[in-house]
Parts: sequence; C-alpha cells; structure tokens
Amino acid sequence: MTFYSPGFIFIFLPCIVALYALAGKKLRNAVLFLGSVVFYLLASRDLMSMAILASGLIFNYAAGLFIGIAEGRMRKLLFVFCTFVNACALLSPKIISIITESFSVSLPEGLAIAAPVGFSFYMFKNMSYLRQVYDGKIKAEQSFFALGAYLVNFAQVLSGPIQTYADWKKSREEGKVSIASINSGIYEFIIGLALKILLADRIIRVWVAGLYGIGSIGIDSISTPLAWLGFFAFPLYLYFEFYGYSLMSRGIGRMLGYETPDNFLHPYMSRSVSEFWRRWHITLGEWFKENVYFPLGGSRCPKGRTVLNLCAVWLCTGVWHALCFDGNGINFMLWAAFLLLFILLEKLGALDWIIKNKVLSHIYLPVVILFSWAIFNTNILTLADLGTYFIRLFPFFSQTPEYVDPSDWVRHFKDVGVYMAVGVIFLTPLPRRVYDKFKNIKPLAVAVMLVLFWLSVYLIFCEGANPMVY
Amino acid sequence: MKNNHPDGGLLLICLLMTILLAVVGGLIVSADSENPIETLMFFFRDGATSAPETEAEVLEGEDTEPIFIHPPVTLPETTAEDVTVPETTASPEVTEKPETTAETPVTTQKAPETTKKPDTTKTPETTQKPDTTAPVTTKIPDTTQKPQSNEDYFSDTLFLGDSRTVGFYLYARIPGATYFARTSMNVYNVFDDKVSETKDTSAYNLSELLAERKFGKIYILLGINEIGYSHNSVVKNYSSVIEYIKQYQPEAKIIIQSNMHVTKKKSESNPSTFANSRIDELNRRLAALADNKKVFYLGFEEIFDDESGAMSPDYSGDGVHLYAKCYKLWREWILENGKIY
Repeated sequence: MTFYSPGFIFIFLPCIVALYALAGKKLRNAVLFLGSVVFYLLASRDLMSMAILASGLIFNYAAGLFIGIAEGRMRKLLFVFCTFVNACALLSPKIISIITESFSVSLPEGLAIAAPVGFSFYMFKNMSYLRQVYDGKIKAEQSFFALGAYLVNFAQVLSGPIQTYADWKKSREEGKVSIASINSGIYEFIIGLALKILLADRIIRVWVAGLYGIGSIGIDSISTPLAWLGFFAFPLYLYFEFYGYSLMSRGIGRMLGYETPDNFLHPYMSRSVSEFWRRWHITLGEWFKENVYFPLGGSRCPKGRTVLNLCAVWLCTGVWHALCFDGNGINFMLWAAFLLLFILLEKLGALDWIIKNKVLSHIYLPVVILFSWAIFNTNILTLADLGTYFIRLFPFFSQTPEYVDPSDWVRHFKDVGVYMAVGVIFLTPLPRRVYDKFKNIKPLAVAVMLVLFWLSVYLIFCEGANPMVY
Repeated sequence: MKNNHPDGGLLLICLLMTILLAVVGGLIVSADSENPIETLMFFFRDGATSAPETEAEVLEGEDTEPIFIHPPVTLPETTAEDVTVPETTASPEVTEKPETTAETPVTTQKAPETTKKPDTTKTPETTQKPDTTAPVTTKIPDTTQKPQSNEDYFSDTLFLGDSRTVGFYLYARIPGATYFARTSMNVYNVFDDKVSETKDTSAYNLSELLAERKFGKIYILLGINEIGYSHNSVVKNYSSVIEYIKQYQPEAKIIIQSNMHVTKKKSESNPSTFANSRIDELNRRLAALADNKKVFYLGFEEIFDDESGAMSPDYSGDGVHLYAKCYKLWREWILENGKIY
C-alpha cells in the first residue's frame, strides 16, 4: 500500500482520520501508532521489515530514557554508543549485500536481509530524536505509544519528511483536529496526488514505458534526441514524484491536526547550488546541518576546516542516497562529488560573478543540477551505463551503434511533450500564486480539486489493472 | 495552526458526495467488480460496449467461454469448443510418438503433457528439427524442392504479434518480410479495429491486411500480455485466431512462435501472473495446437535463457522486452532454423 493505492485513498485514510478525530487526546497516540503499524505492514508486506522497525523503536525508546537521566560523561558515552548502533543498523543491509555480492557468498534463506521500506528515513528520525534528547531540546518521551506514533507515523514512514521530534510535538500540541483542518489537508493531499499521478507518472514513461522506454531499449541503443529527452524527463519526474509525495504527507498531517515542515521551496528558482540544496529536500538538508555539519564546527572555523566539514556532509549525502535507492553506489558517490565540487567553488567565491548575475545564475543553476541528476539517474544502474549514456548525449566522438532507431524519440515526444511543458511551468512559483489568488473563489477551487482528484483516481485504476502494457 | 482554506468544509462535503455517487454509479453500472468505484472507472475507460473485466475474474473462471470480442468473420457454426478439439488431438505427438496418438482422446492427452516435464523441452525441439534438417518431407511431399533464398522465402511472410514483435521490426527486421504488430496486442484484441504500430502496415487493421494481401507463411507471437488469464481461455482464443486467419488465408502456413521467458526478477515480482512456469505451461499447450500440416510450432524461448531457465538479465532491461541490440538473436534463429517449407 502506498499513498497512491485506491485502498489507501478510499479506505485506510478516511478510517484512520475518522478514528483519530473521534479518539480523545489521550488515545490519539495509540490510534496513530497502531494505524501506522497496520499501514506499514500493508506497505512492506513483510513481517521482517516490521520487526526491524519495531526493534529500532524499542531500542531508541530505551536509549532516550537512559540518555535523559544520565549525566556528564556517561550521558555523552551513551549517546555516542546509541548513535553508533543506529548508524550501523542503517548501513548493515547495504554492507551485507556488498559483501555477499563481491564474494558471491549467499546467505541462508530467510537471513538475506533487505533494507525495509523507508528504512533510511526511519533511522534518521531515530537518530535526530536521540540527538534532541541529548542536547536537552526535548525531554525523553516517557510514553512508548507517543514515540511510536512519531517514529512510525504512516504519513512519514515511507519517504519522510524527516520532521524533528521537537517540531512535531509542538505542532501537535498547538493544532487541533477539526472539519476545517481536515478540509485544508484534503487540498494539499489532492494537489500532491495530482502532481505525482498527472505529471511524474506521465513523464517517467520516457524511461520505463514498456517496449519503448529507455530502460527497455537499452542505453547503448537510444538515439541522441531520446537521450536528451530522458535527460530532461528524469529531473522533472523526480521533482514531481517527491514534491507530490511531500504535499500528500503534509495534507495527511493537516487532517491529523499538525503541520509538516516544508520539503521543497521551488528549488529550481535558486541561483546557486548551495541555495538549491537549501530549497530541495529541505528536511534532509536540515538533518545533515543539525547532526553532521554543526557538530563538526560548521562554517564557524578556519576555511580549511569548513571545506572538510562540507566534504563530510556530502560524503554522508552520497551514502544516504545510495542506501535509499537500488543501483550502483559509485554513481551516487560520483553525484555527491560533482555537487560538492560546485558547492566548494561557490563557498570559496570563485563563482560569485555568475551567482550575482541575474541572467547567468539562472542558466548556471539548471545546467549544473540537470547534469547532476543525469549522474544520479536511478534508471542507470552501473558506471559503465552512465558512461554509455553520456556518449549517447554527446555522440560526436564515437560511432553510432548499429541498433539505433533514429526516430525513437518522436513517439515519446508526442507522448510526454505536453506534460513536460506543464511540468516546467510548475517548477516556477507561478501556479502557486495563481492558486493562492483563486482559492478564495470557493466553488471554482472545489471544482478544480474534484476534477484533479477524480482524474488522478481514474488513471490510478486504469494503470493498476494494466500495470504494464507490452 | 493557520487554516489556509477557509471554505467551511465545502471540499470535504463535495468529495464525500462524489465518492457516494461513484459507489452508487458503480453498483448500477455492473456488479462484476467487487469495488464499485473501480467498476465505474472501468466503465469510463471501456465505455458501455464491453463488460469490465478484471484479471482476477478471468483467472478464477478457469473454464470461462472465450471472450473473443471482435470476430472478423463468423465461423460456419463452429463454436470455439469445436475448433480446439481437433487441433489438440492432432498435436505434436503425431511427430513424436505416432503410436499413441490414434486412440488418445483430448482429456487424457492433456494429462501427461502437464505432468511430465521432459515433454516440454522435447516438444519444441522435435518440431523444430525436422524443419531445419529435412524439411518435413514425409508430411508434405510438394515441398521437397530445394530451399528458397531468404528473400524469396520472406517476401510472402507475415510476422504477427505484440510489442516484442514491434521490437523485432524496429531493431532487427528481416528484409522483405511484412510485420503487423502492436503493443498490448493479445489473443482477445488482435482483430480489433486498431492499425499496426509498424510503419509498413500502419494503414491497415488486421482483417484489412489479411483481406488485402496474400501470405504464404504467418508467424505469430502472442501470449505474454494475456499470461495472467486462464490458459484454457487463452488457448481457446489462440486457436480461434488461427481459424480466423485460415479463413482469410487458406493457403498460408501458420507458425506459432514460443513465448520467451521473463527474467527471474520479473517472474518473482508477480508469480501469479508472470511466473516462468506459467509461460512454460502456455507454450506447452500452444505447441499442442500444431498439426504440422498447416499449423507449426517453433520453440526457441531457451535461446534467451540463462542457466536458471529465465530470460537472462543481459538480454532484457525491463524483464520482458529484449534490449534493442538483442533482437538480432531472434532474427538469426528464424533465418537458420525457423523456415517452414
């Protein structure tokens, strides 16, 4: 089950919101925690995954309590140890798979551990919770259900956002569940759903659609125009996929009476790579700032040290994404190094002449970011394929392979061209502004929302029955 | 918490009302699906003409009548049942072990085929070998002439199939041969009023093409799109498709190509549909449609297999379609072993 399954939209979500609203304040944590457990079981379809999450919860619940009462060196020692355990847990599935693959040993059946769905987000929330307890920002949570409701919260367990415990708790105490809050949540939920289904899922067809997708043709056999179409399609897909998800998560949060932090703030309107990453996946950036960059001294230290700190942050960012996605870790590390290069150049002031120029900066940023996503592309699984892809993008120095259909891009262009054009408009703040202006004309706003909702549902059903067409 | 949408719950009310409407609408339209909203959505998609049909429904109805929606011509009082029976009794066993066939009725003939695994591997080989080495000389005496050149042979050959055949056309087409192929084609919709996705025949739907042109050999590859459906229903429809083609092209030899496997990952992703064992079973039963007079069977799915008997991940990115560069294997196999005289 995901946010896009009919079962979630029509059954699970209404039920849990109703139960949550009807439950008194005291029962809400229990309702949310148990509901989230049910959701996670349906989403992962794997008891083992649930067991791993549960052991993380139990461990960190106890760890929080101990850190809360310990003092002095003991407190620090406990915190460091528990964080170390969490980090090992986070890394272990990947390390095990790397070891088994490189030595081609196979684990006995049942022991082969795949990382549970959303594990990296989950562990980051755990670690941030311990950090906040250690820093004294929050008191260790005494109630198991309350901590469970925060950590396993179904609105965030699959792909974030990584909300901090302090923020979550404060927001929940201030907010209340009402018809108005539920209504407001539905708006965000529908907008997110529409971005994901009507834009992201259309656009990614360039890469994955049955016979004609780049992944099916094989990267070495695509025409150069198709390579470029895919070059623009993947970043658009990634943005609307993740932005759509984040809006849905926020919408669900509103229905449950709390606010979710912003995860995206029109990142493509940025003028530098550093700014882009302050406006893209904001909660992850914040996590790294709070838990890696600042503890290392941040930028309040000699320049050389700052550079090292940034390297550490981007090393972690690369590793974290490699954990999140299948595929080759090397590509993600290359991606992180590529971005780090530009961030360092920006930090050292070497690119000021571009960033301070209104026109140049808006050319520089998309170009760098688009190339970074080409390296990141989760449809390109190996370093060799990445090389092949760039050769197809820039075919001047090599011969065209024998098996290329020079008109393969035409079909895709007809298929997704319009969606990509609409997508580009939705990268700008313009649609939000239009929306803010017209949302007060109630019948119009409601009509638009209903159309978006049913259109999305229609497409979900059609594709659900026909997941892939050969 | 600031409320950004002060409309007094209007959206919530409207949403609940439309959901209620959808449920009621779904109940009125048809009771086929368990989920009324789903029913209504399919109603919008498929229109009122065809009953909404879900995979599950077809799967459970193992013995459902074929859902052949668009027959191009009406068969002279043969039901699909009648069509299948003679086809299956003839079967490849004629070539294999002639002594058993004569008295084997349909029902018993099926049993050993499903239980005995070795038969699967034998069937394709035995049908293909005679074709290549000694072109079925015993069966059809008038084809003993020397083998034609590729150009002559394929000039009156039609390749008919789903997206895999589209790929064959796009990336390794055999010069001179005609292709009629379309993504998502299956035995239920092959005679739909849709044109081919291949350029050379893109002006026709299948009935028009068959009425317009005369073919000597028609190679068919269908089955992967309908692999989730019951084998009975698929095979019945497959044989009706053959019968319909025969009516248009009485002279043509019809050659059934085996369905390639999917990769192990794909097979395990959805075992109730894409299991390679299901594909094997379908191929086995398609092989039984061959009479080696007019209808032949070519089993070559294993040329794309890895050692585990699934399609090798080196040949396919999505698990179902060959990489563009791999279609040549298919072409080479057909050129070397796949000619029927």
